[in-house]
Amino acid sequence: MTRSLADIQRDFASMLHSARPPGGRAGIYHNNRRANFSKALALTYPVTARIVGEDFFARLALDYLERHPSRHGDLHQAGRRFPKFLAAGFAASGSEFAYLADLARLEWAWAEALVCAEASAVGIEALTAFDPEMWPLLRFTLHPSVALIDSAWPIHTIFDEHRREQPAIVRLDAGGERVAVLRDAHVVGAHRLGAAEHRWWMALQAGQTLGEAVEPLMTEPVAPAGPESTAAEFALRDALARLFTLGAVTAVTAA
Amino acid sequence: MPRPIAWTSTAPTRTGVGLRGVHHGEWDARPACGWLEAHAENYFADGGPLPALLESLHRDYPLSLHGVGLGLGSVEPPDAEHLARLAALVRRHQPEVVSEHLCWGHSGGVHFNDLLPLPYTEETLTLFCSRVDLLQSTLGRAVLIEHLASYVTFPESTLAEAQFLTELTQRTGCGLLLDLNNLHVNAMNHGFDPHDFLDALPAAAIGEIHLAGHTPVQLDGERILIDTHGSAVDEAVWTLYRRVLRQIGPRPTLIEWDTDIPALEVLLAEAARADAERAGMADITP
Repeated sequence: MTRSLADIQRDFASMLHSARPPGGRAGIYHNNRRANFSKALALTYPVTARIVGEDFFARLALDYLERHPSRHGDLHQAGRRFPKFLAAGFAASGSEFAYLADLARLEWAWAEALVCAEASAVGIEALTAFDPEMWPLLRFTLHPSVALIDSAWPIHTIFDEHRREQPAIVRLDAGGERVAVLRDAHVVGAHRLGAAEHRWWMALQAGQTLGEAVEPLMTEPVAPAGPESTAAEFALRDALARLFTLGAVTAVTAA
Repeated sequence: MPRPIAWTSTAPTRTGVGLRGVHHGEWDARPACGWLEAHAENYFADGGPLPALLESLHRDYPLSLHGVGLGLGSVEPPDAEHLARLAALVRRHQPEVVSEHLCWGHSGGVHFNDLLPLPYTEETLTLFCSRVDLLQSTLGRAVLIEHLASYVTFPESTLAEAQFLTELTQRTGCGLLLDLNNLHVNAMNHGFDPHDFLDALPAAAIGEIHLAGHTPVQLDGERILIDTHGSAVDEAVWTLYRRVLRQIGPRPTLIEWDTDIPALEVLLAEAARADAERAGMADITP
């Protein structure tokens, strides 16, 4: 009986999905699919791949592929759910790899920032154009690439170190770090934020006015306590200067 | 030289190389090279450095966008968003040529992100022609279609590959991207004479030639060539290249290298060899 094209593709797809490679030449396709996927995922998550090592990363990639097969012809999209997959696998279990999910969130934000839409950043003069009395009512539009990550682990230090040739040892119990990933012109960067600064960026990104975003930071202490995480340390002037210097603001508008 | 099909401007006479991420920085110096071919999906971006790089390089080199992800021969229709992104990329960069593959790639909503082989039947031909029609009408231009390196054949096939490709060009007006490494790999793996394949192709439809390396492996006691694009062009492929130059005359030619990618100079040296092969053929009338 001659199979239709639909039958042939369905049969071929079941072969590709099967856990074990078939014998003979069809196995080449079974193998290629997994190898291509793992290689592409490692390109999106280079630091994660470097930290866990090639073999373990390949095993993670296969497990991930099994649960979240690619839904796009563009393989760059296939890594979208990897951070959640890592969180489900490690974060809950108290595993030594619990931080990997947050590191992967940072790497996915980086990959997304690289390809996101263009938007021109404005300098701090966009703010000084307004009467200071108006400032509490102003809203900032953040660059579309801005992604904010709050981790219980020192993920910015881990990320930074493992992009160097000789990474220094990072203590996992060194405390949590907050990160802003964004693209300024054509350069993507990951910047460490203070805890209060991170909350402030979150509030601005959510569309709160400058006054609304600042208020809670001035009146309540921000947990967890740390040298750069208390409300008292939140200096609006410095935070504003940094926000604009990093190229995070594309528009300032009166409410 | 006759203007090959599907090129929007005079086709480059010097050999080009595939644009790969690891070489992005090396192009700043603008080394001499006939043209560049980029995998379209690697530049799917709403903004940022990737499209900017492509735009800047295209000011200095002719550009081809080579799609690897549409899976045109899948029974399930192509992903509309993917097609729209490809169309936007083509609109933005106005490359000299656009190509895709004679393959399928998705089933049950799952994409296998590989170039999967098709049986050559009337049913496949009808479906594939409708997909090339869709692609060409979406892009508003003719495309080149590349035949695959394949490791399996289907007992269902009723047409020879060359016959299938000929019908495809006649029914859709598309051109062909002749990959001589794929041809050599297939001829060795499936045991046929590559010259029969070349004799059967419509010469005028061939708009581009790919040259690349492959890797031999032992599988169940049999020697199989894998289309890895991970080494220098094999002598057997150079022999086929000379044969094609004699048969149909020069065509825009590209060196592809995708795994274990060496320094750009190595690719450019391979391109220079292709130019030398063509120069050596110059006194022979096709």
